[in-house]
Amino acid sequence: MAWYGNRRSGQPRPGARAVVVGLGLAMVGALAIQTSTAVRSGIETSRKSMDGTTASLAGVASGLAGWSFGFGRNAEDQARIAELEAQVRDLHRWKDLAETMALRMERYEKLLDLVGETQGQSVTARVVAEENGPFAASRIANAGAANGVREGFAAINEYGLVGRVVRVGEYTSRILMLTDFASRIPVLGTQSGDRALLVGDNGVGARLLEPETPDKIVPGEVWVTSGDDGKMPLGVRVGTARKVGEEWVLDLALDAGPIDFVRLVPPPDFADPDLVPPLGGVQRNTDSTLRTVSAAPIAPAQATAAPSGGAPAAARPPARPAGAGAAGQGGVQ
Amino acid sequence: MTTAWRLWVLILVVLAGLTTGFGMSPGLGHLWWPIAGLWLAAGLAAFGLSVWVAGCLIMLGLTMDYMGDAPIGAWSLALLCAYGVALVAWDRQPPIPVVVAEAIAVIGGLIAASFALGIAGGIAGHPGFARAALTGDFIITVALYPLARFVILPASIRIARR
Repeated sequence: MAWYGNRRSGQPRPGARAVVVGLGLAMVGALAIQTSTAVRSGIETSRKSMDGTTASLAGVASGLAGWSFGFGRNAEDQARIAELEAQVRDLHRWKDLAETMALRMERYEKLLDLVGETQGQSVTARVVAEENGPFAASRIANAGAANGVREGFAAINEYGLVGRVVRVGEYTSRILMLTDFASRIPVLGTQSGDRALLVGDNGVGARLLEPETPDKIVPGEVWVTSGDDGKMPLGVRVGTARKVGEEWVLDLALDAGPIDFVRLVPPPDFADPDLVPPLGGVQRNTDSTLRTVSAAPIAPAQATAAPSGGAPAAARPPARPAGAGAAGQGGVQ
Repeated sequence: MTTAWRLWVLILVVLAGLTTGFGMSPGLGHLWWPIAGLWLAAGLAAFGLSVWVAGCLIMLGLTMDYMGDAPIGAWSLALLCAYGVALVAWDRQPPIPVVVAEAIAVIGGLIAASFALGIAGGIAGHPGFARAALTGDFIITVALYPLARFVILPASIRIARR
């Protein structure tokens, strides 16, 4: 008798069959109720915590493999360390140059009274798991809400844009890759100035959806984020354009190398118009001020014309209605 | 079903989960990686219909759903479908050679799982389904099954079956 039991297969087991079929139907039911947004949002909570578990599982598995396959790599590791040290030295020089340029740009912006895009603090994280399955192309980074990461942060590496954060756990965050079906990023051509929406293409690439002026796009043109959605920083490199058939696709910059570290960048910090204080104490319109403006009689041009006849009457501002506010701009706002 | 056998199935499921997890390690995401759950579905069907195995496959499927950001229940349904096809292959009457039964169980199971995943995505309202991402994984799953079967199926069952 085999150790797994004494039952011969092939015997009819209607009860067991019913249970297994029932389990299958239960799975179909579980899938069907996920069309409800309420159910999906409920599942999101468990997914957030499971992302941490997934990252740990991937870490354990890769750790075991590293332990078993990691012998005899000392020379290779030393060469890699030396190469990285050289890169760090090189990057220090670039850092100094960048800081100088940033200072100069800040001064220029002050001189021009330019309202720039303020950028919040970014977080650098390591990618600890990656998934290129039939349903999602995503990565899990080892920084989460506890590190200040929030949903909507852009994920950028040394080559360009990688994706955006779509779910944040306590110590992990899931990054939706540009190649995913659900990815939608507004982009801008650096030469043509054309704008389009970059959509993920079946998990293998990304294409430009509805470019405004496709005839102006140049093959090999570098495309960057346009920041039109107010969620992505402006000017992050995305890829280079290539025509396939009738449509344009981008050879993504993220494919240039492995994605091991990413910088998670918050959306540009635009001030909410509701929070901006009124200019110079200008009073807000009310129903009564608007009524006053519309009800005020328009003064005849002759009456307001200057006796000297310098400027024509039509070019002058109309007479200020009584009670329209201290600054007198209430009627035009 | 003995306790030892149930424990063995449980260990196999944990190993399959670890295999899937290892496939998610950084740098391996673009490689073809075997779907260990389908090995189990094809191989464990040789023991005959078992609610325990079906339950374990569902648990493994749910884990894969969470790991792969798939609709909850998609991989469970796929593994159950593959298990069902494999059961039919193994329990064919009159009996067919073991190799043929295994081939039908594995390849038929993969096809069933592929359809089930597509349907599951549709039912759950998922925006898309990348069949191309699965093709390579399916090929490597089939290619490595002859090795995996020695772990999943003990010699005793291969003798007892035919």
